Amino acid sequence: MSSTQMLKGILEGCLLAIMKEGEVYGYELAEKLNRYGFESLSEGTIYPLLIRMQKEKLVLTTLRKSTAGPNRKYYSLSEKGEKELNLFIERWNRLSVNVNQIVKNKGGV
Amino acid sequence: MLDVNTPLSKDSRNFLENLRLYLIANGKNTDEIEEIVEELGVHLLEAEGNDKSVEHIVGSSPKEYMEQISAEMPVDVKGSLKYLVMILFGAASYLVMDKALNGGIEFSFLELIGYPLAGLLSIVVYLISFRYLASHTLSMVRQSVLLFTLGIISIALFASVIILSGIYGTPFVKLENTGNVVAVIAAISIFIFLSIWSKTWIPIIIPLLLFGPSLLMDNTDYQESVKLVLSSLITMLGILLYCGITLKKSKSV
Repeated sequence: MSSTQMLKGILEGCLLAIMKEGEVYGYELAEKLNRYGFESLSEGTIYPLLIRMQKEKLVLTTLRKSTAGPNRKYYSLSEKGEKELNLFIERWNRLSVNVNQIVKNKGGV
Repeated sequence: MLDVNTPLSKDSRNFLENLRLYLIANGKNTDEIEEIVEELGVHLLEAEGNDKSVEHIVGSSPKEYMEQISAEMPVDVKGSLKYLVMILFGAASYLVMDKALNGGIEFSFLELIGYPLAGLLSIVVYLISFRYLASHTLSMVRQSVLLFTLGIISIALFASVIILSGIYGTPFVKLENTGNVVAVIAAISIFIFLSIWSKTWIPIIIPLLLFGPSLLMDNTDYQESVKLVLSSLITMLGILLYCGITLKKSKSV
């Protein structure tokens, strides 16, 4: 797995976790990621991921009118998306425990 | 479709137009294309309101970003085939009309194979170039040279079919009077069908402008050369007028 692919997987998990907190639209999602520390990421990175997540039926979408201008597309978790989020959290916890141990022991066992 | 009059910056509009062209040239579904273009348009609009640049959204390489989006969208084989068939049918109808009005429909074997082949090859060359144009920033001069070359290539392809067929071709299909009438009616029906399908007047107006004036002139007593000049003049003026009207309409919407 290349590092960009790994980051994509992690980002997908993050998007699912943000959606778990409630309906969001693209710009909001990007801003939230940014606030959580992904500043170096260009904001558009989320859209290819959102297209894929939509294709895999992890998310549900609705178009809503906005007072600020054109319609916004809102995303929320589907049932399948919730399951995927739980799997991601499990995988992530395992991975971060492993990585933390290695880093703490500076590579020695 | 995204409103062309939204107060988006030129950079953003260019990016969205290029993305649309890139995805079309890659054979993606038109509804899905409009969906992502619109969604990104909304994002860019809000981002610009907060003084962010296009680069902040799409990253340093628009080409890479377009590729990333394209990679997530499946190729719409059925939709693309439909367009292909429509284009080939439309082109075939022009040819049939042209031949019917200029001495009757007659095709050599070489033409029957050559025209569709030249058409397909032209479409492939155009698609590859559109992908390139959409994902690279080119100067006006380079862009014009590329488009001009494209035009020359497809003209050359069709011209070689005509020339080769003139040298080696023997009539393979030759229609008599009734056949010609039937073929012309079929061609006109295709123009009307294409016009309804594409929801534009172009498939009707262009043949009307191309064939109408010379038909009109044939009923006058002018000299041949006068007829030729007048009919081409009417055709050109008509096309210019039509372009002008369309442009004005699209601006006033």
